[in-house]
Amino acid sequence: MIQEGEGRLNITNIWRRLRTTNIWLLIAVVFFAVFPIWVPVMWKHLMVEVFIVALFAMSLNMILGRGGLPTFGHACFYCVGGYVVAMFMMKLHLPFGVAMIAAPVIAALLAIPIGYFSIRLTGIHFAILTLGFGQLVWAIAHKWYSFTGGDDGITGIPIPAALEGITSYYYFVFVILILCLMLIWMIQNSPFGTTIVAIRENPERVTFSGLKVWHHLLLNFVIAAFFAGIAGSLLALLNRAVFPEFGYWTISAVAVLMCIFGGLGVFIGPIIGAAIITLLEHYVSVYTFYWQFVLGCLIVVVVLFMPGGVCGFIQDKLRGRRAKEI
Amino acid sequence: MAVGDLFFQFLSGLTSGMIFFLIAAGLTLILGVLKIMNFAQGGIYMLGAYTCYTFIKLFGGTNLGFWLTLLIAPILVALFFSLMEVVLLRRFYGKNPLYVLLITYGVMVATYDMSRMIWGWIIKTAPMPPMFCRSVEIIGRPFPLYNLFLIIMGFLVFFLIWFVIHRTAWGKTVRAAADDREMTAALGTNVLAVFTSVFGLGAWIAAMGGALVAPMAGMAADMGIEAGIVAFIVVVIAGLGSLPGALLAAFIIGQVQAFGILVLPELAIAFMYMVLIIVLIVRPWGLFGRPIK
Repeated sequence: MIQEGEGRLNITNIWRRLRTTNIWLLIAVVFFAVFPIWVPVMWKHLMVEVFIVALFAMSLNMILGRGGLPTFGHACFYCVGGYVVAMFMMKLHLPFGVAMIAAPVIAALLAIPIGYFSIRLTGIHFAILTLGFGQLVWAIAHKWYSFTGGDDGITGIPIPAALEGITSYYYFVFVILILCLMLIWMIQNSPFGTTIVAIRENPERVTFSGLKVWHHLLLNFVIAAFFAGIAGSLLALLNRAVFPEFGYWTISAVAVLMCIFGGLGVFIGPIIGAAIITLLEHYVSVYTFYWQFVLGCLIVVVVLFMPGGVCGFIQDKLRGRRAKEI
Repeated sequence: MAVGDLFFQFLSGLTSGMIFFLIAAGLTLILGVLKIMNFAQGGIYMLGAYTCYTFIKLFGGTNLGFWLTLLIAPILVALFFSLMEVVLLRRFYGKNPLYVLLITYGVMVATYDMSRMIWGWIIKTAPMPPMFCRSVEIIGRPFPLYNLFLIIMGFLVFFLIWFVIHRTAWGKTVRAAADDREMTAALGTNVLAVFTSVFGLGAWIAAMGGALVAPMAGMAADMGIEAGIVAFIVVVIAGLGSLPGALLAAFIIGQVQAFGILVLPELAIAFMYMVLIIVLIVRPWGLFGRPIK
C-alpha cells in the first residue's frame, strides 16, 4: 500500500519521523559515539566488526525482509566490494577516496546482470540461482591467481594515515554506518520502499495499479548490492586484507540468519541479529571450538520459540502488555 | 587423446555423478512429497559416511562386515533424522517455508560440529572391504572395482525408489499425499506418518550415499556442506521433485566436471555453478519440472 503524502521525502517529514521513532535512537548514537573512549582495543575492533556485519545484514534485509526474496548469494557483493578496494589501491594505485566510491558502484553494477536473471524467479529458485551466481564469483576469486591472488587473497591493503588507528577507524565506520542507515531508512519509507513491500504482499495488485514490479525489484536488488559493497570495502580495510571466503555462500546464509534472528519486520532487526550473533560467536569461541554446534541449536530454538525474531518477540510482548493495560 | 582416455574420463564422471545422485535423490523425494527444502541433507550424508566408518571398524574390516554396515548404518541415521522430523519439522508444515529452511540449516550446522565432537578433527578413511581391493580391466586400463560397484548401486537405488513409489501400496499413498494432502487425510490416511516415513526414506538414501562413499574418499566434517549444495543444484537443475531429472542432472554435472577439467582445470569448481546458471536462465523450472509461471 502506498501512502500518499506520508511517503513524501522532505526534511521536516524525515525529522518528524526520526524524532517520533524513538528517543532510544539518540541514546544509542550517543552511546556508541562515546563508547571508544573507555574500552580496550579489542572491544573497538569487535564493535567495528559488528557495525560492518550489521550494515551487510541490513542490505540483505532489503531483499529478504522487504522484498520477500530469500537470497543466498548476497555475500558475493560483499566480497566484490572488498576486492575492488584492494585492487583499486594496490594494482591501479588510485587514491583511497576513489576506491571507496568505486567499491559500492562496481558491486551495484555486478548486481544488474545477476539481478536481471534472478529477479524473474521467486522462492527456492531465486535462492538457488543467486547462490549459483555467488558461488561463481567465489570460484573466480578463488582460482584466478593472476587477477585476484587466488585463495591467498590480497593482503597488506594500504590505509590512509588518518584511519590507521583503531579508534579513528571506529569513528570512520560509525559515521558511514549512520549515513547508510539513514539512507536505507529513507529508501524504505519512500514510495519506492513501500512499493517493494506491496510487491512482496501482492505482486499482481501492484501490477494492476500500473507499476512495473520487475523494475522495482531489480532496482531494490541493485541498491542492496550497493550497500553490501560498502560493507565489504569496510571489512577489507579493517582486516587490511580480502579473501575469497568473504563471498562463500555460508556468509550469505549466516547473514540471512542474522536478519531472521533479529526480526525481518523491524527496521533495526538485522542490526540486533548481527550484533547478537557476532558477539556470541566471539565469546563462545573463547570457551569451545564448537561454535557451529551452539549456532545450530540457537537457530532451532529461535525458530521454534521466537518466529518473529528477537525484535518481533519484544514488540509482541510490549504490545501484549499495552493491550492488557488498556 | 585416445578413445580409451575419453571413456575413462566418462566413467570417472559417472562415478561422481552417481554420488551426486545419491545425495540429491533423497532431497528431491522429500521436496516432491513434503514440499520442504531440507538443508540438512548434506549433514545426513556426512553422518552416513561417519557411521559407516565406525561400523566397518567395529566389524574389523571384513567383507561380511561391510555388507552388514551398509544394512545397519543408513537405517540408524535415517531413524535419527526421522525423529528430528517429528520433533522439529512437523509443526512448520504449511507455514512460511523459510522456517523449515532455517531449522534444517541449523541442524546441518549442528551435525557438522557433532561429527567433530564424536569423530575428531582429523580426516578419516574407512578401510576398503577386501573383495573390492581390485581393479577391472576396461579397454586395457585398470578401473577400481569399487567405483563400478558404486555406479551399479546408484542405479539400484534409483530403481528401488522408483519401484517403491510407483509399484507399492505405500507408494500410492505417498503419491496421493504429495498431490493433495488434505484429501488424502480426509480419506483416513495418517498423512503426517506418511510424511515421516518419506522423510526417513529420503534420509536413508542420503546416508546410503555417505556410507558408499566412505571407503572411497577421506571424510571430513565439511563434506556435508559441499554435498548439501551439490544436492540443491542437482535438484534445481532437475526440476523440483523429479527423480529421473535428478539422475539426469547428476549425470550431466558429473560429465561436465569430468570433461571440463581436461579443458579448464583451474575452473573445475565453477563448472557446476555454470551449468546451474545456464539451465535456470533458459529453463527456470528445471529440466523435468513443470513451468509454474
